[in-house]
Amino acid sequence: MKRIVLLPLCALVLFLAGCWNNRELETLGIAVAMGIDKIDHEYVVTVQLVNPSAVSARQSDTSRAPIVTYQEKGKTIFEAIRRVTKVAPRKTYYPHLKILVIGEELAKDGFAEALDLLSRDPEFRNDFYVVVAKDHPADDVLNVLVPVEKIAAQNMFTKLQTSADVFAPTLALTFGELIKDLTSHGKHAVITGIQLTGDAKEGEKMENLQTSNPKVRLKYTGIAVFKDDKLKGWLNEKESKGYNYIVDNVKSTIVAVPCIDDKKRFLSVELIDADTKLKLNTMKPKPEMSVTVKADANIAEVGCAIDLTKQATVDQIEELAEKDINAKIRSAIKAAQDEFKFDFLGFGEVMHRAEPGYWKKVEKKWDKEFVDITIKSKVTVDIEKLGKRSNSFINEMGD
Amino acid sequence: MLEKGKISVRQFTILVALYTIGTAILIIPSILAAKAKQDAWISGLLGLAIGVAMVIFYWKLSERFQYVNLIEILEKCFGKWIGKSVGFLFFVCYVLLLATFVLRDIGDFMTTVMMVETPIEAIHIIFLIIVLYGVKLGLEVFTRTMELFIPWIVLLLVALFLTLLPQIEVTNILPVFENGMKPIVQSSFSFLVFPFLEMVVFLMIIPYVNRPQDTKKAFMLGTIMGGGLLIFISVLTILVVGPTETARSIYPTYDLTKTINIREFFQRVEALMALIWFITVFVKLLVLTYVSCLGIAQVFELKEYRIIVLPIGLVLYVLSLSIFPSISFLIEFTPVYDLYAFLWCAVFPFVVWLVSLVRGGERNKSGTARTESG
Amino acid sequence: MGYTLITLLIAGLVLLIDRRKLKQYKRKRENRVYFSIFMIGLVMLLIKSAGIEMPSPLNGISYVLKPLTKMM
Repeated sequence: MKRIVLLPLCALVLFLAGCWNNRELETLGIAVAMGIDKIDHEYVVTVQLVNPSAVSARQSDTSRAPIVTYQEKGKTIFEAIRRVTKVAPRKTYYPHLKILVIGEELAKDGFAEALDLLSRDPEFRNDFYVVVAKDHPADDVLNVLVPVEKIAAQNMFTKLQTSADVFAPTLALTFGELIKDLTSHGKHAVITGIQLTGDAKEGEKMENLQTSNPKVRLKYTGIAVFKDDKLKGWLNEKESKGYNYIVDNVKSTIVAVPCIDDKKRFLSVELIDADTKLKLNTMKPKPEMSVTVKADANIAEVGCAIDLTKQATVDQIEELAEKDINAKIRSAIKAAQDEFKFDFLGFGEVMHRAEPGYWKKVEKKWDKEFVDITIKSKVTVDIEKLGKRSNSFINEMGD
Repeated sequence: MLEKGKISVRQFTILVALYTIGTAILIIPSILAAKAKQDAWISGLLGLAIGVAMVIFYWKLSERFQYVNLIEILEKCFGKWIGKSVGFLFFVCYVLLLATFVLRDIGDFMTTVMMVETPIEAIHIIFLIIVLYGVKLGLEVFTRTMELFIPWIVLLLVALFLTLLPQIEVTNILPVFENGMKPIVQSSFSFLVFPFLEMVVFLMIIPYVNRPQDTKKAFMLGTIMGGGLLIFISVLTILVVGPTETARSIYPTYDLTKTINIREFFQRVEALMALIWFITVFVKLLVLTYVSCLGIAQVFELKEYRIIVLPIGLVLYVLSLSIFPSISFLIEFTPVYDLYAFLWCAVFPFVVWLVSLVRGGERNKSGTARTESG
Repeated sequence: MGYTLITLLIAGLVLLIDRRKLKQYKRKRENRVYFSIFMIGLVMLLIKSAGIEMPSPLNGISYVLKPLTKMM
């Protein structure tokens, strides 16, 4: 008898728990990208949703745009997001957010207040990337239609990941890492910039998808440097790469070095594994820190006649590559110490770990201390392989 | 005897270990990191060491009274009426309250991060139904069930560790001893109270182990396994998420599992990982409810404890909903709770032990002293 | 209102499940203890379902122990 009572009760439990707040897939608008701007003290939130019928693999309706964007204003981000429900046909669903774009104007004013919702609300994860729209408000970037990877957010996500992995002037920074940088006293935050080429209005049209050479593209450019949460300036490609060497973000990249005697021709050295250590060398008489980069490399491309079968040649190439990397590192350090005059390279964190006692004293005024610190840099490149050829066929061609 | 079932020493170890992990696995990283920051592991080890010492003390107390349960200990110590009253207070004001907290913890967790719009009542009812059913089935049955859970927990924990390996940043736990000993000691006190001092409820379970004289090792081993795992999880969270974010997070372990991402392929498995603490919270709530029922039944000299399981469940349900109005209240209440728990779990058994020393002395002197004082 | 109904339903279910045990212990101590606890739970539940805030026992504990924690 007891069982007869219990059984339907247990069955009820199974059905009730899962379906309280059930949301069917077809009632959700899946948000893949979000942009935040600020106009006249109000946040403008742009949400990019996937247009399911246009991207479905089986029967995709190519006449429709693969993405749709909605935009609303609000005094807080959450208000704006909820206001989006007035214009969007479905309730927006955020766990699949891929990328967050911060408008340049908002970045200059400071964007930290806009981020609390994203770290507090359980619907947001912290693994989406954060980028800054350079020269444009965020909504322009989100409105562009892009080919190949048709969901623009996915396009931006993959592009950032690949370029950070194999070329290294960009920085695939997740939201979680950004929060860590913002709260650290020993490192200011940096965020990769995204830019669009061409006329923003053109990029919203389907024609942009229908040519092989779209007029409007999205492109990652340099790295934006922030003091706390305020954008202070941009690093150029050389400095950006130097930055990535310093913070040990380089997985693989190429270094173009001049052929030893022939300064006009170049060869490519492909770094396959780079490892950076930041260290505090000494505190007396004055703190001195150092960057040490150790990299394994291959010869990837030779544009001139040199004899790669000699160890001496390889040694010379190594030296040239080292010089090139070192120059990039120096330019990033120079930018930090002379141009921006604050520490976005993370030397403060090194100091914090190495000399906690000293750090306690300088924590509040670290940026001032940082400017005068001597930073040594040393790069070692080891070339191990030459690809599948020894000397280039160019050697046999004669002049 | 109210409980006729017997469990083995091995089952007892498992029970202790899972009970230790309990709700602590959800929130302990942020408690440890709150003050000690990256030195959480030192606090953890310190807390564990004192915790094990306390556990040995509890065992000694049990041994001193030939492994009878807590109410009988109190009766022997303070006489029948005072003993019963103190025991009743202990079970209502501490054990039942603790059970309320545990139930509310899992309800808050579910409604904060997993099922945000589901009413907390639904989750409490569902959780309670299973727990009360388990309590009604008795000690022997539910400990055997727990043995079945062990492989799952081990499997999931190993998976958790392996999938997070690539994201570990060793620099997150440096520098060591940055802020000196004070914050480390403060954090370790919280860790001692929660969960190690809560082991006091096992004074009600030791009597039902088939060889109670062998439980000392099992008790310690279970505590060390559970506590070690909590320290391990805390260190892992700090290594992956970083000390400041860990301290700021309300459910850091859940945040930790959310970061699992192997090549965009193996990700979003937090609901699966949540199985770990569903099981451990279930065990903890089960043990606490069981112990409260047993204790209260014994105070009133009922023939069996099973009869009062459902009414107590009812009280537990209402209390868990109205015990505190918000998470902020709970966070503010935590230092008070630490002290309150310390009074019940450390000061109270210590007083019992002191009294038993005095009385025990009398008993040794003359055989009649016992009847006089009883 | 719906809330009160659910409350009564829960209470009814509890009695239904326990009815055989209750018959077995008719007019014994077991039944008195059972109904005392049951009534406490039911009254609290009804108060709660009527939407009246109950004072939390934690406030009392706070009141007594707060000065002590400040000392520590």
